[in-house]
Amino acid sequence: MKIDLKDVLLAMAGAFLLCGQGPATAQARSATPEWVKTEQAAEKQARVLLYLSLAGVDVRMKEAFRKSYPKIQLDIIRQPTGELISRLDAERQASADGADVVYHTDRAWFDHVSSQLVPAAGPAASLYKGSKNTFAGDRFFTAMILPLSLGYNTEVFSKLGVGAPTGWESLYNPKFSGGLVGLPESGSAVVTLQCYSKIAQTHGMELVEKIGKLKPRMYPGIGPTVQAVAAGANAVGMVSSVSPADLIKAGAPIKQIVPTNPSCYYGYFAGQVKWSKRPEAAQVLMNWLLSREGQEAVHGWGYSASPLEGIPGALRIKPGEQLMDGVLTPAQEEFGRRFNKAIAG
Amino acid sequence: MGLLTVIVLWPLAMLAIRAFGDGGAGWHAMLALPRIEQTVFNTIGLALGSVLIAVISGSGLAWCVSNSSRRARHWIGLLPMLTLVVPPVANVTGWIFLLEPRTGYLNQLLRKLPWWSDLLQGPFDIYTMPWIIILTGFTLTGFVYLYVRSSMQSIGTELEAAARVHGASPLRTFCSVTLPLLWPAIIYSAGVSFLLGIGQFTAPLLLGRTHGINVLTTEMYYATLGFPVKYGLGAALGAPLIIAGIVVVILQYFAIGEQSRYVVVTGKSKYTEARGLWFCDIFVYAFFTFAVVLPLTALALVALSRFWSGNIMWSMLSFDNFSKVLSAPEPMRALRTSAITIGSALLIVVPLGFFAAALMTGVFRATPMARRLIDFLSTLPLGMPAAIFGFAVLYTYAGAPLYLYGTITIFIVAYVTLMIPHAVRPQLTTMMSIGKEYAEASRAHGGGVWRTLAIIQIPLARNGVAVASAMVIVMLFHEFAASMMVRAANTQVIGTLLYEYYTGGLYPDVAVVALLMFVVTALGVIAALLVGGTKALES
Repeated sequence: MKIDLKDVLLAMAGAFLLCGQGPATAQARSATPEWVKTEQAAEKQARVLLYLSLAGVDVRMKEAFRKSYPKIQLDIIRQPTGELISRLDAERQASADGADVVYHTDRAWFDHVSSQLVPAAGPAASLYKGSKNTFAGDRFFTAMILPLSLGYNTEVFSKLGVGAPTGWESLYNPKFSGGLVGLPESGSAVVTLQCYSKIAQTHGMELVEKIGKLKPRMYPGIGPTVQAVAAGANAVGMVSSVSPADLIKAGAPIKQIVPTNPSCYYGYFAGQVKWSKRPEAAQVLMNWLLSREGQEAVHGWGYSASPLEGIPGALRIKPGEQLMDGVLTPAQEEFGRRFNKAIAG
Repeated sequence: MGLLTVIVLWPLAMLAIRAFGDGGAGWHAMLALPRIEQTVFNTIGLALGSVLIAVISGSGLAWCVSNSSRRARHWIGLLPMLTLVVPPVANVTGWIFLLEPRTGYLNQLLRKLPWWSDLLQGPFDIYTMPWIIILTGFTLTGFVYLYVRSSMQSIGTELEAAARVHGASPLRTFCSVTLPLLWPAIIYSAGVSFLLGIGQFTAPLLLGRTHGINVLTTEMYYATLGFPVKYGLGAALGAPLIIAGIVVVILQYFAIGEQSRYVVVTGKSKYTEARGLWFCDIFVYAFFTFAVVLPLTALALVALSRFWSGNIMWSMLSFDNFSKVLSAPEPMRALRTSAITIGSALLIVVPLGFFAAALMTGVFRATPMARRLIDFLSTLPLGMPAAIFGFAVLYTYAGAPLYLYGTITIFIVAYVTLMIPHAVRPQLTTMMSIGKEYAEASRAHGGGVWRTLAIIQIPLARNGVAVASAMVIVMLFHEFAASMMVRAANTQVIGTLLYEYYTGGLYPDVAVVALLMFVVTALGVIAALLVGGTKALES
């Protein structure tokens, strides 16, 4: 069973919201006097720094934010989630000048440091009131929803005489032996391991062991995995729906499907850190990311879904779809050890 | 001396204490690591294998340069040195594009050969241990070449010529004259290469992860990625490397033994073989092609492409990626951070090296014990992998009481520590050649310490200062392991930015940053040549 992104967009148009929050009721930048003061202070600070673990959206974010706030420069540091959180932890302990707003997939980290996050103060927070997308008293939010997908190189598939993949089980094919399967390391992000665990639950550990016998190539994140698939170094790999977008635009022979057996949707969470050296600018960025305006800027190209309803162009998701939460259970931790043994030998 | 002690010993002492702290929890965590035996085996294998390659190819290059054709003799010696200009991280990235099993440019060319034409991938796989060893070996070749070539130049060719005149074959001459005289240089360079090899980080990190190949330094790096950072584990992982450093220095001492056995009594070498050996030229050109031309060509091709692919679309090549990367704020910020940290480290470590050298040569008064201690402290960082110092500096200075994490100061501290030997040795050599008589004459005529320093010592030692400065600049632009340990997400130097692009960006951007690193290092070398003369690089 497979779903193409375009089919998702067309067929699911008008579908229900992921978590059932109400319609938008306020404009993100509706101006109370306090908020106007915050924006003015932010403009004086002139810069805001976002730590982001997702590749492929930073340019869109920067351009759109510049249009909304031309006097505030948005700088983005982009690293895999695993690397980002350890650096954040060190920053927090040293009170170093670093992140103002953080945007990654590790829910456990957000839970762990929630007392060190600042409740969102801008008007956009009201859009999330009462929904399942706000946590720890508006200290962090689901800002993006993505499916993990299967990226495949059309030229390599054609040469091997293999049909387009249909689901996760397509990762195994004897013709892919000798490193033609590319996978992000299980430790690169918690959600990756959770997805491997879901796949093993659905298809049995045998599928993982069979894939391990193909000697797959492991990469430090989804970014290098999708590069290798686009280059033809790998025939197929686990990627995320956003990751191949730039490569497709550049003409690389890569396509993707979003498997539903099982589906692996995960959230990106955003929060403002208390140790920010530019607190007002951080509030403004956080508010913009949560606002309809920001959501449209980030998701409007159709590769990612918004937690808000009715964002034009955003990827839409089946109602009732469960998100992987990025918090490992003991069983998943144990699975991680078995997975690494099966894959790495 | 106190400053040297604080800079060099303090972080190592803190690390050692941490390794044995918490009832040895770090050691327990290390022993519980999956496949730790394999990791140790890989580390030793990488060190020994790369040393073997480096010693054979480095010594071979030095010999070939000495026996090259007359036409090429004046400049061919520069080619092996140019391998040191290509930063290892750029070199490894270039080789990924060449020898990726399916899409590597070189692999694709090799598959056109009749005996490999049936292969769908390969024949070589860059993501394997043999290639990690080979690339590390070629990275270290330049160091061995410099030591052995320098020794060959001081020996001259008269003794070899004498042996030949008395009927010895070229092989016998090599075995009975050349090799014994070069023994100290080979042993010393093998020791240095072993230490560099055992602490290698770049190739294992970029190539080993794909198939789960780890060495101790990469495990140390992964310890910094945990949440929270596992300092005890990292310290325990570093302990065997520290011990290895001390053992190798002792072994070197016993292997070389009495230095006077290797003294050559000869005039200034002027005799050179009239005819060169044609295959020597070919060997040097082949090495240069392998170590410099091929990886840089691959990087250039990927940098000009719209995306990394095994198929080069010649009509689609453009400079778009260059303008995109060079107009982005991150590379410029990283370059600026590199310039500031390297410049600051230079301003601290070169004067520090000058005073250390002055104390050791007796320009300033010091007890014999103090001189020996300064000698030891200024040599110690040579015996320790950069990754260890990076980790130790992170552990010691990141948190309380100094809270240097996320600042450029932590880079400067790490760089100063690493560069002390390279700042001291050239200045020490220069001061020893000057002697202390001029300084004594100045003092006898009433010149104070500082006046003597200003008008006698510094002007006379300026060549050593220039060489030390050039070495510090070039080596710090290459520095990757320690920078990876101390970097913050918001504070990157150019080498760590390349890794960030590698893990999250488009590969053409990675290629552009790698080429940028090469260009900046080349500019540093040119500046060194302009300041220190053509001998500066060699020195």
